[in-house]
Amino acid sequence: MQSSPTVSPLSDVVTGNRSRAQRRLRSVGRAFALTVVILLCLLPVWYLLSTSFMTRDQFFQPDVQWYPDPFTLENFRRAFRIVPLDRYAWNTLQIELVVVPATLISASMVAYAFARLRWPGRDKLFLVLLATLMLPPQVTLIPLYVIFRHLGWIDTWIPLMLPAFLGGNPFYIFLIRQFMKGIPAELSDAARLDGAGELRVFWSIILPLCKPVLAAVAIFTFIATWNDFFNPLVYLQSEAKKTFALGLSSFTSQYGTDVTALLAATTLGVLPPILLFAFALRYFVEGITFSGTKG
Amino acid sequence: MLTALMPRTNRGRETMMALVFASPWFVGMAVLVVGPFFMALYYSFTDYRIMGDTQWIGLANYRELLEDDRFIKSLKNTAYFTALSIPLSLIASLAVALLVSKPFRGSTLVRTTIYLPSLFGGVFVAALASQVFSGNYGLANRLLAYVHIQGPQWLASPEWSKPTFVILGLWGVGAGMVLFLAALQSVPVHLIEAAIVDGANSLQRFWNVTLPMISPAILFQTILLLIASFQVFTLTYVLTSGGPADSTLFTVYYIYQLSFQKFDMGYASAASWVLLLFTFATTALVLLIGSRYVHYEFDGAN
Amino acid sequence: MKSYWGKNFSRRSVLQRGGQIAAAAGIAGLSSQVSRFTPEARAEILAKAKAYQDRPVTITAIQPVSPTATSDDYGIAFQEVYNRFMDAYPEIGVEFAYSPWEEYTQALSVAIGGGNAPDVATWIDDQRIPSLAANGFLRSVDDLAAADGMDLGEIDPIALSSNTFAGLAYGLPYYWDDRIFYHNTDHFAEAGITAPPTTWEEAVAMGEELDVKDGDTYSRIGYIPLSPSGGPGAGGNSYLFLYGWQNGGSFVSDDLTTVTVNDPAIVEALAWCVEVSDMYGGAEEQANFIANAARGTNPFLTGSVSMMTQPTGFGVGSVNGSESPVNWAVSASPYNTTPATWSGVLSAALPVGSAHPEESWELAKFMASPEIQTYFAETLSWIPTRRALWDAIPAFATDPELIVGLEEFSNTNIRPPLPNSQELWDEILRASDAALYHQASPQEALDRANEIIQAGLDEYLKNS
Repeated sequence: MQSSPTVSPLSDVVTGNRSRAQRRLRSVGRAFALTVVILLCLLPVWYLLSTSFMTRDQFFQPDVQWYPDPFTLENFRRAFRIVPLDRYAWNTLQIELVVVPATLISASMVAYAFARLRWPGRDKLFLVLLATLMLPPQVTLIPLYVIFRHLGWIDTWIPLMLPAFLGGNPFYIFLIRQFMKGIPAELSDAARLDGAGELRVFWSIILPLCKPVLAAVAIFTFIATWNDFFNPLVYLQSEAKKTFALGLSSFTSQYGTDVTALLAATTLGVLPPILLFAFALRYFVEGITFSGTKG
Repeated sequence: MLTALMPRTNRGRETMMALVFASPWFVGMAVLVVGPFFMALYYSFTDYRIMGDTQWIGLANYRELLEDDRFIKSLKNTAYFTALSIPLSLIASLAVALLVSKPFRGSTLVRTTIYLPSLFGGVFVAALASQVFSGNYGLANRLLAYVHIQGPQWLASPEWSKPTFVILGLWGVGAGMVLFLAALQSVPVHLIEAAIVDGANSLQRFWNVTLPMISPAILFQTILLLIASFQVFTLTYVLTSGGPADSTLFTVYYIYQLSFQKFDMGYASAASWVLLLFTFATTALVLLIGSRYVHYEFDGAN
Repeated sequence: MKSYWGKNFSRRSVLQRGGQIAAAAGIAGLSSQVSRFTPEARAEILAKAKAYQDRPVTITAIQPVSPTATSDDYGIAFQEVYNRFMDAYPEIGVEFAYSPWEEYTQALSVAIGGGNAPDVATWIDDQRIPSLAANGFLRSVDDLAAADGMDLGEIDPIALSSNTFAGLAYGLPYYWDDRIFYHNTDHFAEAGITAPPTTWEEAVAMGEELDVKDGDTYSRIGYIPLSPSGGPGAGGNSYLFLYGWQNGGSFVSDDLTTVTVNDPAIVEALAWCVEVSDMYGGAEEQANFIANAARGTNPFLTGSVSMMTQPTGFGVGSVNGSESPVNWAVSASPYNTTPATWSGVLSAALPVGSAHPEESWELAKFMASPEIQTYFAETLSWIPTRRALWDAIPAFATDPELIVGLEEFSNTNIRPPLPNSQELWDEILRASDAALYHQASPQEALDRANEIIQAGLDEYLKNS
């Protein structure tokens, strides 16, 4: 079992002929295990995709149906008829348009303070920040609901957007801070010597270097917001304001669910995160790898 | 004059700037975290039903919780789910990370594929699961039937409903994998080589070198999983509403029911504080145990 | 057991009559049912609705049906009612707020609790009203009726009593129904059965004759009284309430102070339901059966279940609206010791916090007026809560569902309007599930339910 990305030739010194066969066996075993894992990951996705294009008659056949035959778009048509998916998607996108930039700016500001400025109590407060990751949001749920209610913000998007202006998820602050710590101090010192103010150092020197981690945070935020169910559930009631994830949950009626249409709608619902992820895969991987996990 | 307020020393100015930069977080802490926490604590000592008056009733809510069968059942369900899902998730994600840690042709594609299910939000997983685990006619049991296994009734069975949730969690194993991949890549190569020179076989190398080196990541992931499993909500809400026979009644869902279906906000606040204490206690326990085994730094490599 | 995404949904199985109608609209949306409204008529109603603009006062009416979903007959009928209202009251505009049934009552109460109340809730179940009223979400209508000179006595007293809390009415009922027995006439003919069952025993015996097995598993089940979480499942939308009453049980004392859901007659009824469920492999097996046989809908619609107790309107609204309608006929629901059925009531109610209480009252009153109830009866075959109207509606003398349904009103019951009516409902369902899944005996399950409901009730009694 090799855990290092670069394996040294030393291993050949120790391993003789006998274990060469053993190693072949091991790599076959690894290939087999990988195949199983990949199948388990992909099978449900394929099932989702193929069912979305199946007729209901085919779906209810007693055997496993591996691919749609005949191929139909009818499920998507019915899905849009049952719930206004386009409106839900547009609502969610509008929220994203506020939440993602706001998170990027506020989280990187906070991260900057924790990563690149010295001030008393910084490290202790950073521990507090990490500790807030562990708080169950349900404890603050009722008070926040009460506060937002007094402000008349129930059934508006404000409760969903507000946290993004206040640093967003502490985990993002953590990620950005780890990344910023890796940037050599000389860079900002040089700029300061040239007379640049702190804001300028932050905006013109540090932030541009943080692109990979910011991209990762942007994607994380987008996906988390797209998939969020709990907050929209609590704060949104009108049909006209619902997000995609929330809207999908009411895709049923007492006499049951139009199953194939539901799966078609689900396919549409998982598409944006997947497309975004595929599109920005490079940033994503970089952002995570750079930050490491020790903190 | 604003400049008059600015501290003269460099150090003072830096502190000032830091406070400015960190201000969103300070405001967020006050408004979204600390304030609401104490409000919730206050509510937990009151009879508070959103439409009526708030009455101070002391510890009555907490006393009632002790006798609330459903609350206790919800805690048990949560504990059961946590105890089952965390070890399985850890093992699975570490195993998968080890499988793909060595670069090979197409390894990025494989990693991405394994990560793919993690992109599915709870509602979408629920929609899919409702069909995959739908009795003998769901995909799961149809596939099992191929190998002549009579699958359980999954979500419709009080015994299997929680394990089904665990399986759904395992489907998102890719998120943990990514974390472990990063950790594995930071294991110094020379340590592995040293172990090889010492004649350690691969299992020994994993046990004595790799595992200690990635133990902080394991601890971190354990804590993340712990918090997540204490908060399991969406699947319950969308998929089972706590059933069958309250077998997926998890505490957060129960708190939600109390607050937004019964509007018994005071009682729900008390329940949420109890959950909070449980979360703290468990996290502290994990950290305590973890601190004994977690290897934080490596000196003496040379 | 209902077939939604998952299983045993306590939240969604709290689907009562209102939900059923809303769902009927939904299911009609799945198929190419011939709507009672032609596309032209629909377009005309919607166009007319658009034309009302800039009224001095606009009120919001919320209901779980939508005017724009094609083949949702209820939504478009409601829009027509609002159009007529706006014709009659030129000062008031009505804004149509739709909320899907699964979220409806919760969204409504969260909106009221959140200080964001709609002005009129035009579609509330009887079961919900006492609970909402006791928690301060609704405004009583007695004083408004008195000030307006409206005689609440014209509305059927049983229907009205379902809306009362602490002696005051909290909603104006404009619709009610009762539960009757539907059977698949083709299945009956096939098995040579000529008359529907009149007793529980007969129903189960006939059910066995109608069962069809495919190897080890049932491909058709004749009759199951109760399946988990009470959903439409194999057993119909009938819940333990029906069987409790049909066995001579009573859920609460007459003065509504003592809970008796562990009445021996009710325990016996539940035990019988469990016994029949077990004959068919128990709760899990039924979940399995329904997942397949119901094809995501009610198994009666797919011909997978032969007999079912359902509210009036099920046949015309749901069965005939399904993909390939089965042939059906109706009779009174079979009983054990006491002929009994159960009515669901829909009302218009006024949320607390509306800025326009007078205008909202006018709309609620309008919904329950003879004119509108007649319109509902003629267009949707809904049964008016004003009994005086029954004779005047020709269809009531010819429609078999209505003939049986109207007769059965003499045996009808309503769920007791306890201030914790929601808890009563939830616990009855929970007890039924616990028994069906054999996690508790019927006695234990109902004892526990009794204790919880009584404790909840005591809390309200103590405070009042």
